[in-house]
Amino acid sequence: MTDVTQLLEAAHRGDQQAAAKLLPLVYEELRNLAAARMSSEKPGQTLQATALVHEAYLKLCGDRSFNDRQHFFRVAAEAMRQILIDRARRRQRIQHGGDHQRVGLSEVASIAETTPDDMLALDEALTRFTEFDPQKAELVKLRYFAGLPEQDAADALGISRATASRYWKFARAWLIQAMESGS
Amino acid sequence: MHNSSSQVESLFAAAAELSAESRKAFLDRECAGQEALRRQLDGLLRAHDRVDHPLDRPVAGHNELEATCLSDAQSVGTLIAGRYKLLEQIGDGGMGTVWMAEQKEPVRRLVAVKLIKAGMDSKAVLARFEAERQALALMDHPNIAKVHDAGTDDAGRPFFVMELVKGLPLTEYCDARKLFVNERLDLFVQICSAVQHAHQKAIIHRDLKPSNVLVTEHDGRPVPKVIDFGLAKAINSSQMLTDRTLHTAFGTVVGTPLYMAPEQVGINALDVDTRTDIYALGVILYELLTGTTPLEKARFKVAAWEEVKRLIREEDPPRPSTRLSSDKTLPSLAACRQVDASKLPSLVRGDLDWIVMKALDKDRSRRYETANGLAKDVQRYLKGDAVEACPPTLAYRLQKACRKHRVAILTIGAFAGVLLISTVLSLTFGIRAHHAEMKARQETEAASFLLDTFLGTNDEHEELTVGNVPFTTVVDRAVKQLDRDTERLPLTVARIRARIGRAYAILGKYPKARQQIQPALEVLMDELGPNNLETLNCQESLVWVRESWDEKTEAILLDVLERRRKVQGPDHPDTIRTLSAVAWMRFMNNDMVKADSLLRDALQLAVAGHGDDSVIAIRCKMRLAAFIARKGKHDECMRLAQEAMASGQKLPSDDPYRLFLKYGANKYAKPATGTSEDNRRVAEQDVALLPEFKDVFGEDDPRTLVLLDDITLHYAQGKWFDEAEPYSKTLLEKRTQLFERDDRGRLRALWLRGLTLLGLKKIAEAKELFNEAIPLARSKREHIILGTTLVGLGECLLLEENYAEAEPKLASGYEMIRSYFKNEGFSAHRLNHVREVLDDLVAVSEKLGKSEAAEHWRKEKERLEQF
Repeated sequence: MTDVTQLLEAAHRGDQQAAAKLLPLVYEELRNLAAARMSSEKPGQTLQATALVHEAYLKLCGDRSFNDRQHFFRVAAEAMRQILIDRARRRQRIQHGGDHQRVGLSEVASIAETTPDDMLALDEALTRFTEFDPQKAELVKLRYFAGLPEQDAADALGISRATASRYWKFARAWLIQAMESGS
Repeated sequence: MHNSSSQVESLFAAAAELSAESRKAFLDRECAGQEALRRQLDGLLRAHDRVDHPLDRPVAGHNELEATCLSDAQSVGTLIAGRYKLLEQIGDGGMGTVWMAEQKEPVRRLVAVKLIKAGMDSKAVLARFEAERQALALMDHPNIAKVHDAGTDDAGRPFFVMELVKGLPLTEYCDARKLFVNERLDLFVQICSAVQHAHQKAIIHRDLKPSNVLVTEHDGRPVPKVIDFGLAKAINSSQMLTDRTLHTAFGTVVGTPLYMAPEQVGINALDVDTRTDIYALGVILYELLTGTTPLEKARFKVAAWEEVKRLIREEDPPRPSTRLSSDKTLPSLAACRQVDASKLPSLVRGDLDWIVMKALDKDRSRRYETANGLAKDVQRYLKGDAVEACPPTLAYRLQKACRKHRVAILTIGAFAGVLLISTVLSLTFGIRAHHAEMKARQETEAASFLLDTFLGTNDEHEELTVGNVPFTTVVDRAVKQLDRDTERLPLTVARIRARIGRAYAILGKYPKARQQIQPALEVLMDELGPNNLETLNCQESLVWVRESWDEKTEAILLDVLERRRKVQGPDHPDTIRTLSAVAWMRFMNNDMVKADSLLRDALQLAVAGHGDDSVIAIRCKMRLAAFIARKGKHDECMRLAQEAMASGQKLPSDDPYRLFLKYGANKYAKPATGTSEDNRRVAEQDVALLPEFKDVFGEDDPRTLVLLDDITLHYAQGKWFDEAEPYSKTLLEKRTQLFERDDRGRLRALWLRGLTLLGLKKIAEAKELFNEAIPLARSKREHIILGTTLVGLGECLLLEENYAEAEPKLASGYEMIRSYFKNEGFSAHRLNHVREVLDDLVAVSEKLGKSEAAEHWRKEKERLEQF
């Protein structure tokens, strides 16, 4: 746990390697937390990415300064993104390969559910968007993958809420266009 | 080529806040001359306007995250209920996961285990399952996967254990193995028999869909297995099929409504019976044939749940053959079925269409009674017998009987002959039907025989060729016969009238056309409804024969367009044709900008949906070329014409449209500077085509007359009046003799003949024609013709030295021409024309001693030179 706080402090000082080392730790913690919560889930309750991220933060860092918290969210957003992308890849493999009995009942999925293809297309578009405009891409990760409300996401990036709102609109349009054009 | 991103961003932010109307104006202003920027912004704004994109549902709280965590929570090797050891995850989705597992006792075997995710009321799920367990155990059918067991795991989550089937989901299997349509139908019949078996044991599946039918192979033969019997009810009945639980916290909908029957989304959603499964079988059959579900997945994705329910309950899907014909991916669909792309729709049209549509009836009492009934009808189709689902017309049965017994079908030349023979045959084949009903059906068939033979089919795309047959006589006779005959069914009469109306319209007999089409439309609306294709075609043909092309006319056309989009889909050739017609209306009302953009939309849809070489794309290109030609943009116009011409080469050699295309391409395929020589070149090319036109279409055919019109126009424009003379004469004669007096074509003929005679200094005759043309042009809102005709009349008066009368004609003619060209752009030819008019005005003002006016016109001419 001290690992995490030290790495966070280093990352905050601008140490790139520290941020890179932080990611797998946060990734692991989020997965464990999520699995633990799932098994004790009450009927009808949904799992909130935001809640998970906050919980992971408390567990890993305790009561740290605000700056650390903001930095942590950005790392956590990236970790959440990786968790979901890994899963989307796995699902896509299951859907496209193997000749065993498949989906069936479990495919009674939500039609509005984001498909693995959607998820991967989004990820790809986001990667390109990161090159184009890293700050807005960061905002998308915070809002979409970590589920942060607009104000929290704005705080994490050190911008005003109005700016975040404007950024989001633009990023959203850019990404939808990129996903739909597929190239 | 990229514009600075901050510029894009700030323009985007500003435009995103605007309404569609003001947005367009804003962008026109801000992006003037910057096409790349405009395209970029248009793309972004289109994306911005999308609603309910996956991006708008952050992963927070949606199933994705839960399922992630769930699949993480179980892992290989876990023992469920002490008996099933999870070996490999083989499926995954919002409701849980599917595993291949090893059963330890009482028998060692491989099974499929479905683990339902937490959060369900496990007790209720199991209770419902137990209630059906006895019945499930009784099921024993080679095409049904057995359900072995159910229970809860250590964490209290329900699980189901089933026979492990190694196979592919139905549609995937069929496409992977490229099964023929017949082989697909064989599989489908087996599926029906499985469902029938279950129904006999009082078990309804409730969740039939291709992924619940796995296909395995036994001795090289495909064997379908229906899985998950009994599960849907256990899990769904309270969890899925009521509104309350369909909405999760974030408004996402659980379930696959693509296969849901209307009664499953009704007010009393639990009121399902065996016919609900029949509906789902219909959807599966639809998908096997067309590759898509009747209500398309893409539409469901963007629709809200209320809208989805409405679609399921109310929207009539297109027939499979219609869907296929309008499907962009038809070539690959056909390849998966090893049929020629052009043959697939016709293979499905008719019997298979009817079978599918009967199974999919919104009213379950009209569906097949049993799965067996459905299977039997499919088998009848496979054997070539008459299917039960079809509208049982006599001709249909005869056709089937003839085909089956290999009776040569004689070419029957007469209407009466058909009736007589069908009566005889109906007795021979002992087909019983209610007398009156039979008579009505005979008539419909006989009538369509008559129509198809003499008036062409009801297909708007078909070029009607009549050669030198006096077509008008045929049509007039048909009307008389129809008016005399009072015993026909209203619908039959309406259908005939609609076609006769269309024929009159082609002949330019608009009032007569209206007399036929208007009453026909009322009947079609009543009997077939506004969304029926016949109704739509009829309504569209009414548009072209209305007295004037005013707002009301355009509103009708827009209405047709809207319904075509809904019924036939936005990229169906009919829809695209209507869209280009709307463009034409805009054009006629001098809204060049809108006309241009609509036509480009149409072209884009046509090319994307049907390819560059499709007739609809060629037509759009030629029409666009004609628009652009008026704006004087010759490069683009040439490019389009050349493309259209090249694609035209690929049309069948006997397609009359090829010839028509040659004429169009002539005009635009070479750069034209508008010189007198250019005009002569075009006219001469047209003259060379004339014999072929007369031969293929006939002397009096509207298309031959259009060619004559064009020849005259170009000779006259180039001031080759001697050459124009004979053509203008014939044109006016034909137009007067064949068409209504207020026909647009006749107006043009009057105008062209007038200009030619004026050029030949035959003043008195020219004046007469101009005087007749003016009121006509005014009522038709043909501004440029009106303007030039006024000028022509003015010039006649000028030559007669009647200056006082000449002046107002010239002045108002000039105003009209100038404002028209200002909208459309000046070309060298047009500038010349306007200069000449201004010279006339100067001359006439001076003659009248109005020096101020003369000065005004001189100045006007100077201003003009600046262009």
